[in-house]
Amino acid sequence: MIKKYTLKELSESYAFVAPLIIFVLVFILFPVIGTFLTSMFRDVAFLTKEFIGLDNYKKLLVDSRFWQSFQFTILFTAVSVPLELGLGLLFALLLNEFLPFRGLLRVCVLIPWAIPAAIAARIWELIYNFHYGLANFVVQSFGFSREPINWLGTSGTAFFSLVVSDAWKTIPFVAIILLAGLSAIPDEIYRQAQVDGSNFWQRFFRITLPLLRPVLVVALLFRTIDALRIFDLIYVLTKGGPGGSTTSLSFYGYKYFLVSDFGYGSAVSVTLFAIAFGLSIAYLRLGKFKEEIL
Amino acid sequence: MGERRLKSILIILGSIFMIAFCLMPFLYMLIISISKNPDFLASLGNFQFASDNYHGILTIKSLHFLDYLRNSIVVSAVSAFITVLIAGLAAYAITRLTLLGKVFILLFVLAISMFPQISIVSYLYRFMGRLNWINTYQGLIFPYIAWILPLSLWILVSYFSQIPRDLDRAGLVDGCSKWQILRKIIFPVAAPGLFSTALLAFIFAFNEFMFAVMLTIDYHSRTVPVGIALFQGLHGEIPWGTIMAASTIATVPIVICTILFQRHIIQGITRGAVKG
Amino acid sequence: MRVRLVDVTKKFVSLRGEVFAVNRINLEIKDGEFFVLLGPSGGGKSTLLNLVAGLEKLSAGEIWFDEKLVNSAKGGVFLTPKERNVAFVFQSYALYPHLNVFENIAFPLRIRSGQKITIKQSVEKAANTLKISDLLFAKPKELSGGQRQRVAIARAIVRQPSLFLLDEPLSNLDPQLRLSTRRELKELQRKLGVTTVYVTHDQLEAISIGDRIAIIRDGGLVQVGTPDELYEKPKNPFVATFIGAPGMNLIETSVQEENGIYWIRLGNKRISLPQNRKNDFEKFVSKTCILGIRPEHIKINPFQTEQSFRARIKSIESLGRDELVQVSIDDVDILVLTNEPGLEKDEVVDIEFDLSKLQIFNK
Ligand SMILES: Nc1ncnc2c1ncn2[C@@H]1O[C@H](COP(=O)(O)OP(=O)(O)OP(=O)(O)O)[C@@H](O)[C@H]1O
Ligand SMILES: [Mg+2]
Repeated sequence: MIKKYTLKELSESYAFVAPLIIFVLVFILFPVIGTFLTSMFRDVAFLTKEFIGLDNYKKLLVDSRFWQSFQFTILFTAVSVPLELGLGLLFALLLNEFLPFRGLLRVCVLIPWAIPAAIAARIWELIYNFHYGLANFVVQSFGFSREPINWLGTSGTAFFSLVVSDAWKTIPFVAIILLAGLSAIPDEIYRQAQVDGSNFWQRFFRITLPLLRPVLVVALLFRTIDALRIFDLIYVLTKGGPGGSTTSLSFYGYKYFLVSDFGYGSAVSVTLFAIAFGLSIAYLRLGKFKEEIL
Repeated sequence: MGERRLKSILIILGSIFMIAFCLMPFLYMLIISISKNPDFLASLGNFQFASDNYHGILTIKSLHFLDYLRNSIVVSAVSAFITVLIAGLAAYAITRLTLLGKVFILLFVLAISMFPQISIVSYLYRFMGRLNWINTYQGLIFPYIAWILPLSLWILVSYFSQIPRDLDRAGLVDGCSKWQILRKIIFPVAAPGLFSTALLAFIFAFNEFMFAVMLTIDYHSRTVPVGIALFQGLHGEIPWGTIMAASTIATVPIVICTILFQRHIIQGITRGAVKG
Repeated sequence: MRVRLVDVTKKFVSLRGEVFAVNRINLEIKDGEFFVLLGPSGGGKSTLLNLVAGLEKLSAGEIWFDEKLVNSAKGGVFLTPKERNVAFVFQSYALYPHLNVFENIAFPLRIRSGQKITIKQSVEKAANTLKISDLLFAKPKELSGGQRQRVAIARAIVRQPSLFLLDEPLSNLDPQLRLSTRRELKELQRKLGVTTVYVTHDQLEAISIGDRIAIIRDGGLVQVGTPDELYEKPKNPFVATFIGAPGMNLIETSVQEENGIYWIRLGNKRISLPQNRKNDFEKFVSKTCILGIRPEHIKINPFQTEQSFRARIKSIESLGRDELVQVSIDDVDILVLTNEPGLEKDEVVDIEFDLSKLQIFNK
């Protein structure tokens, strides 16, 4: 039986969370639902809106451009996330050592995180400049290649360039949260292991990695979701080119919104949403997180 | 002995790589922004100092850079402030009050923050269109608040749950209402946490791109990242010097903030992430 | 102020299922009384105190302050702590870390929007009473445990509450400080005359400080009484062992009647019970029951008498002035408090109970 005063107290408590709920509902959940619904309509500017069920999705299945961007998005995620986690872990391990100027080093690592992605992309665009960019300068002066490379101009190098600049922007985040995980591992464990005569690699694989697993899964989750929805970098660096080879799903959907084909664009967005959602659930299963939240 | 030596060499090499990797693009931006020609690398040793780029970006009205900057600062600051307030209220209720479905709210909000922006933005675009809010501050601020709320909530829940419950109870006995407990006890005690959250929220809003691309049209509300992304030259040639000067002006304050408050920021990031 | 608890019940619903932290407690606390809630950990003392304070809401029952109903589950009545005008001292002291000592003490007055001048006067008076006037501008984290505790008490008394509630306020202090603070607290309470409810799980503390004590166990009220009553007339074996250090000896046996005289048997000897306590023993005749006798009510005799038992000394522990001797009568172990000199381990002695102090309980 719920007491009268308990009801009053509950309503008071909900008043505190109400603004949060309202904002999230109105500006995120409803739009997502709206996008879902729109994806079942032919909803193109100047044409009458018409319910067409799953036709947009059927069209997706035979749309080779869609499959191209699908493939790019998955490939980009599959390449950049492990790279970022690997380098992020390396940086975290370095930052966790007793180095001189440790604070300063941490700041250096934070800088890419603080710079807006669009601006970072602009910097990288210049770095990749065919005629006078830093990338070609380095490549040529170290003798890796005699001719300048058209970084953003061929599909292979464009992919590579995107991966590198994305890594630059996001490794700090990975490094910082892995560093938090590392510093939570008590020193005694390492000292004990050292006394037991283990070498560096054994300590790394037997102690560090297993204890870091929850944090690693979190980083993996966040990074995967972020990589799947990549947009800013592509918008600035390649505009999806060359030949559509670097069009991410976000960017593909965006292109349809630009020409006011909301129905089809929404179907693309919903597909991306479904992929992200499915992967998150899979990761959470993997990380056995249920108990750890609260 | 050998192992230790090898290890310190590896650490030094690794650190050098790390610093170079992280700082190089940033420094490159700074250098280009103060050079007369962006192509000095092609003809080596041709570097010439010039402040034209800065002068141009700050004085040429038609570039609207200062407008973008103002828009960004206003939108981000207002969004950050309101977000922290709303998240603070909710975090208080979730950590302290009788509330059914606390875990559900936290997980729901976490799930929401994982939605791809592209699945929101088209609907928002038309919604804002109907409200006539396209190209206005509020048209950006409201979505930003919603977008940053999940992160802020998680960070604040983590801060608030560390404040002893006895403080609330003492406050109750001393005659506070719930609202007074929040304002006179929880908020002051959690001030460092609120500050880091606000800082993170500001940086998030400042860096946001997709909403800003879709929901703004021109200098009346366009933010710096979009402005810089869309910066094109008048005569075909991209004015790299000007772009880098603009980028420098836009990022250096944030970078300085990051340096000054690195502890707060790192705490914020790790609390937001590691708890989730 | 008088506090009356009627069928007070608090049920928590948690992942473990339903827990009755407090179960149907009826109590009356008199005006100006120093009332102690005593009991083992997890018994529900804090929950009961929180209910009285208004920090928790009743699941069933009623709480009255004088003639005012402050919480009734059925009637849907609930007054907040503010409306009840109670003061609370927490085990953790719960000082506001962002405020200095002055502002901590002034906090309840400011919330009630008192006048600036009167606030200053009241704070200084409270600080004087607790001898912390020189600490007024320190932050809580600069203070020692004892000082924090004083600040917490000052904050509690500064606004003349009608009820003063303390939840194990001394348990974070070191033993010596505990003794002196205990005395001061009692004095302060007498001076202010405010009805006080004090929670502790330390029976010595309870006995020395309380006018009356309620023993709480598993959410239920076991016994209420003055310290002497609890000591001399414990209602059941639990109270008997809980009060007094060391606790009462409990011996399982039975009472026999022969020729109008009651006997008890221990080992292979039986002794007669005094005639004037016949009424106490009557209802236990021919039933197994539990005898209780305090260690200080057993004498070690130099020689055998009709009423004494043969016992072997198993161990001797010195308590300073006295010695705590463990003896066994056949298989039954008994603790004896004595100042008899020259006892030795394994010595066989004769012990005699002070039968006027003998307690008897149902099994
Ligand atoms: N908020 C709560 N939710 C669920 N169960 C609770 C809650 N508060 C207390 N309990 C349970 O109620 C019982 C009584 O707890 P309480 O804190 O009142 O005991 P106590 O006598 O004060 O013990 P101690 O001497 O250790 O402080 C315990 O079993 C406890 O687990
Ligand atoms: Mg307790």
